[in-house]
Amino acid sequence: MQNNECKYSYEDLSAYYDGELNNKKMLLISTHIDECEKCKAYIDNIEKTSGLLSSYIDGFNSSNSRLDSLYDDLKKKIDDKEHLKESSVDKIIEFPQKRSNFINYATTVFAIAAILLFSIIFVSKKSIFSNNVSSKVNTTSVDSLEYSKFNAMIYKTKDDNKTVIWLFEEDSDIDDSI
Amino acid sequence: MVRLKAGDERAFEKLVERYQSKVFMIAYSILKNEDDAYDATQDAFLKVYKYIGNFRETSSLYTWLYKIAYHVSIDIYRKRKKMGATEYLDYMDSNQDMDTLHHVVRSPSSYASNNELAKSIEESLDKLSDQHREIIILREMEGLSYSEISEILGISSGTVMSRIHHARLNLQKYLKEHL
Repeated sequence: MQNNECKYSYEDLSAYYDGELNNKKMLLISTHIDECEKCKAYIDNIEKTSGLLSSYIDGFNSSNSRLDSLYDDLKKKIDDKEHLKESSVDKIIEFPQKRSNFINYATTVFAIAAILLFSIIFVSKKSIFSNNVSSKVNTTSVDSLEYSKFNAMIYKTKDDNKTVIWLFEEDSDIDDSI
Repeated sequence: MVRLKAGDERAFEKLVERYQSKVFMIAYSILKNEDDAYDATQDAFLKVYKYIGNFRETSSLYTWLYKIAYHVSIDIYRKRKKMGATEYLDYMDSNQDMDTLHHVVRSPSSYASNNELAKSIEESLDKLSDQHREIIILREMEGLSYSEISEILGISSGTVMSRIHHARLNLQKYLKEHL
């Protein structure tokens, strides 16, 4: 959000309060706040809100005696093997398995091979497509042809040297004008 | 960490003692009732116990723990939401006596009900959107850095920065009379 009267945005000021900016920007904003009432007031408000939240959490924790029995309850569940039950969260949270160097190496080789294979297939398909077009323009009506993945082509026929412009959408019939 | 990974129970107990309040607070901020938050806290620690051997230490232990707590709580929240109000009451009824039920269904925490300011803070947190409440809890109450929050919530640091600012702005609006 832009702070219209200052060169620093409110996001910057908020991040400054959290100490999350680089050293240079921290220093610049620190100097700026000494001179700018509006930005100083904004930072003061964050500080007061943080203070309120801190007092809330301190009181909340000290009044919550229920957690006193948490470890005992956990121990019972562990003894009953409840921790071994599967839940949907196990799939959501990433619990990384240690991978051996061999698996890392094999993964890299496989990825490179897949990229090469994909490139070869792509180049050869493009070449086949071009050949088909040049032959069909000379011999058949283009109305019935269907091509996919190409939005437009400009082509010259071999016989009468006319320019052919094809416009068509992906996976749709060709509209042509000669 | 070595002792934890080796399955040392004393090390696990220390971990629970150290982080139980913080994990409970995350769960409570999402679930908004103490009993569900307690269950989520237990589940989170059980998952740590189960998977600690796989923890690769690419992040700190508490970031990992908070991430688990967050996802466990979200999972419980979604299940409760799917249940619907009537089923939820039946569920609570079958698990607790009516005195507790009254407290659980719509709760200010026991602390907040005895303290006007705390009540006001809790109501203000309640008014925030889920996204804003989560991020305020992680930053202001748990003191996590932007990169840790980014990892837990799966969002960029830029989004964390912007979301914290907007959450603070809304919270200030709701807490105006106390500032």
